[in-house]
Amino acid sequence: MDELLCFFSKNQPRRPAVIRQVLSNKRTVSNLFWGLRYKILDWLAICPQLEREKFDNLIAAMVQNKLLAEINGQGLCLTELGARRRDNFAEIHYHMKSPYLFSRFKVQLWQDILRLLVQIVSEASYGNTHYYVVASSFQARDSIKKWYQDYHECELGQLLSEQLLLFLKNESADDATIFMQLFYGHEYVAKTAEQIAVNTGWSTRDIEVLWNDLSVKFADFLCEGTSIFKVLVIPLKKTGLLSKSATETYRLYASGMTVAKIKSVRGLKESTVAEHLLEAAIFVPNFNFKRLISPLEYSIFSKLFKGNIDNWHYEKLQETEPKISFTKFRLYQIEQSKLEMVE
Amino acid sequence: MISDKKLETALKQYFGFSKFRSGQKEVIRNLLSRESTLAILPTGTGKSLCYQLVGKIYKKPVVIVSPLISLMQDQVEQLRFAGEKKVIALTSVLSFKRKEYAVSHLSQFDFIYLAPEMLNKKEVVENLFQLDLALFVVDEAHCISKWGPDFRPDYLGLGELRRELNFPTTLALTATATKRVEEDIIGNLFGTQKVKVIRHSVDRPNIFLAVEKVANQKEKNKKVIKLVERLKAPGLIYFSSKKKADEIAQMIRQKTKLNVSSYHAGRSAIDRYTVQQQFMLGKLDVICATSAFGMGVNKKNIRYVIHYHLPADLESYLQEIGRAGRDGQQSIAILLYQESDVGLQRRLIDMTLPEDEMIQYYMDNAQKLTGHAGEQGELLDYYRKQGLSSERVKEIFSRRRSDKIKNLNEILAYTNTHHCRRAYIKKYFGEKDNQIHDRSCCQLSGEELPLKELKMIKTEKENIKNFDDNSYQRVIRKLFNL
Ligand SMILES: [Zn+2]
Repeated sequence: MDELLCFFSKNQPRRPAVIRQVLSNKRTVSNLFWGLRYKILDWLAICPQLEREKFDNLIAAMVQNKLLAEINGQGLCLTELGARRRDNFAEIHYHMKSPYLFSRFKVQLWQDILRLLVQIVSEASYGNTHYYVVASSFQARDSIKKWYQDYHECELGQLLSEQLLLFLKNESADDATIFMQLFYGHEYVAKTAEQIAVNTGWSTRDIEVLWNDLSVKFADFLCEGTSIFKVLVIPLKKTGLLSKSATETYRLYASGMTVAKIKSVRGLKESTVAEHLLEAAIFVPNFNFKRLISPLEYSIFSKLFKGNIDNWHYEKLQETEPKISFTKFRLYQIEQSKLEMVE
Repeated sequence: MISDKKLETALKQYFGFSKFRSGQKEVIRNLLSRESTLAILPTGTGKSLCYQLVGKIYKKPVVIVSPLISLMQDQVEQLRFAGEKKVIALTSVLSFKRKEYAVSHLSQFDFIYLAPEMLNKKEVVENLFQLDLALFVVDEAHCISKWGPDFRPDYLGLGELRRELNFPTTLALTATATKRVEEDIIGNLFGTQKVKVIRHSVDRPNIFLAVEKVANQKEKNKKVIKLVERLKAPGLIYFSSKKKADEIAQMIRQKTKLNVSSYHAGRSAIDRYTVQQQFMLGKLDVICATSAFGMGVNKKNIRYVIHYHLPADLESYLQEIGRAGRDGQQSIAILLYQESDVGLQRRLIDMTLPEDEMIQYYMDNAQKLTGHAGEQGELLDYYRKQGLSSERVKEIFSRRRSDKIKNLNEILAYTNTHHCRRAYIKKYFGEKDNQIHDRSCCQLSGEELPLKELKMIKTEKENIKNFDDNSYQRVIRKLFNL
C-alpha cells in the first residue's frame, strides 16, 4: 500500500484515477496528458494487471489510515502523515531506477528468456545436457532454441559473463548480488524472492521489484551493445510508445501531410486524428507543434495563460476566442509542460 | 527374444543406467513379446522407463494417456533433456496454434502424451488411427475404476479406443490398486482379452508407520515443530490446504533454524521450480506441500513424510508416503490425527460431488450450463451425454459418495487400529497377510515413537548447511565455469 504513496501529492487532488490508469496502461489522451502533468508517465504500464477494485480498496485503506485526505470534494491529497510515510517508505525499500523501460520491452517474455539463457549457457559451460529447464513459456523456449542453434559454437560462458559483469559494474554490489541469486545454472539453484527477503531484511516485494528493474535494464543494456545476445532482445523491443494506429497517423504527419489529408487517406474522423496527434505530442521527442499552432494563436495563448499549467482552462479561451479548438489548447499545454520539464 | 545383456545395453545407451529396478525388466519383457500388461508397481520404481525403453527399441511412436498435466509436462521435459526432442504433450493448456500443428503431424513424434479430455476430439483420434504404434500406455490406470478414488469418466472410453486402434499392445500402469480396482481396470480396458498382471507389494519395509493423535490444533503444531527438529532430514509434510501449508512453513521458519519452503498450486511456476530444485540439491530440510508436490520428483533420501491432515484414502496415503526412503534406508511416515480432521475430509467430499438438487438443476438446464459448471459440471455432462435419467445420475453420485465415505472410513480404521498397521495395509490391498510385527515395523496404538531405536534422530553434523552467500562476481564465475 505504502508503495503507492509516491504517486500522490499534497496539492493535486485529482490524481487517483490518473494513477490507476497510467499504471495499468489504460490510455486515453486525457489520462496520458495528466500523467505527463503529474510526471508519472515513466510508470506507464508498470502494473498491467492492476484491477480497479483492488486499487480502490487500497485507496480506501489509505484514507482510513489518514494517509490521504479528501480536498473540498475534488479528490485526494497526501496528508502530513502520508508524506512522512512516503518518505519513510522510500528510505527503506528498493527504488525502481528505470520504470520507463517497462513499457519499452515485452518484459515477461524477456525475463523467461533471460533465465533460460543463463541456465543453458551455464549447463553448456559444464558440458551437461541432462537437466530440467527452468519453468518458462513455449515462446521463450523457441526463441532460445533458435538462438542457440546459431551461436552454440561461441565461447558462450565467457561472453555472457563479460556482459553481465559490465552491466552489473554500474549497479550497487548488493543489488547485483541479489540479482544474480535469482538465476539457475549448473548445480546452482536460485532462491525465491521470499528467501532472499528473509536473508537481507528487505521485503519480498522489494526483491521482485529489483528483479523487474535490473532484468529490464539488462535488456536495454544488451540492446545498446553489440554482443551476440542482442538478437535475443531486439524482437522484444517495442517500436514506440504510441498505439499502432497513432503511429501510422504520426508517420503521415511527420512526412508533411496536413490534418485534412491524413483524415481522408486514413479514412478516420477528425477527432480521431486529433487524438492520435495529441498522443504523439506527448510521447514523441521534438514533436513539431508549430505546424499545428499558428504564430497568432501562440501569442493569444501566451497572453491568456500564465503560471501553473494545471490551472489553465479551455473555458477561459472560449470566452474570447471561440474558434480555437480544444486540441490546439491541449497541444499548447503539452508543449509548455515539456519545456517546463526540460528546465 | 532379446537377451538380458542386450536389454541392459539399451538401458545404458538410452538412459545411462546400468541396472533395472525391481519389476521393470519383467514388464519390458512382456511388452516386447507383445503381451498387454497391467503393472501395479509402487511409486518410485520407474514405471515410465518401461514404455520409454520399449519405444526406443521398436523405434515407433508410443501414445501415453495421462490425467496429470503437470506430471506430463514433467515427463516431457525429462525426455527432452535426455536428448529426446520428439515429444509432445497434448493438453488443454497447449496453445491453439501449437496444438493444431502437433495434431496434424503426430507421426513426427516418438512420444505422444495425451490428456484424457483430448480423446474426445475427433481430429486427435483420427490422427491416432494413422500411427503404427509401438505401444499404447494408460498411465494412472486406476482412474478408470469407479471404485477408485480418482475416477475419470473420460477413461471409460479407453477400452473402445483400443478396439478402434485394433488392439495395440497396451501397458496399463498404476501405483496402488485393490483387487476390486484391478478387476475393474482389466474389465474396462481389456474386456475378455488375455492380459498379464504384474503386482509388486505396496509394502515398503524400510518405512516405519506411525499415527500420532493430538487433541487440538495447537498440540498438532507443537508436535510438528518437535518432529522436524528431531528427525533426520530432509522431509516432507503434506497438507490438504495451501493456506495451511504456507502458515506452517512460516511457523517452522520462525521457530527453528531449518530451511523450509512451501509448495502448492498457488505458487508461481518459477517458485515451484525453484523450491523443487532446492530440495533436489539438498538445500532444504523440509517442504510443506499439498498433493501437487511429488509427481516426477525422484529424490532418494527423503527420511520422513508427515501428514498434517487426514488423507482422503489409503491409496493416496500410500502414494505419498512412498516418496520416503527410496534409497532403502530407514525412514518414517507419521500421520498426525486430530478427531476434527474427519470433518474437513467430509467437506472436501461434499465439495467435489454434487448434491441431488444440483444434479436435478443441471440436468434440467444442461444446454445453458454446459462448459460453465466447472469440474462437477464436466462429470454431470458426461453422464447426460450417455443418455442417463436424472434419477440414475443421482443414484450414481450417491454411490460415489458412499464409496468415498467408505474409503475415508478405511483410513480412519487404519489410524484407529490396535493391531499391526502394515498388516492392515496389506490386507486392504488384497495382499497375503504374512506380516510379522516387531519394533521396527510400526507403532501400535498408544506407543511412543521409537525414534532412537530406529536411528531416526539427527545428529548435529547432519544439519543442512546454509545457503552460501557469495559476491555476484563469484557467482558468475561459478555459473559459467570460469
Ligand atoms: Zn506392525
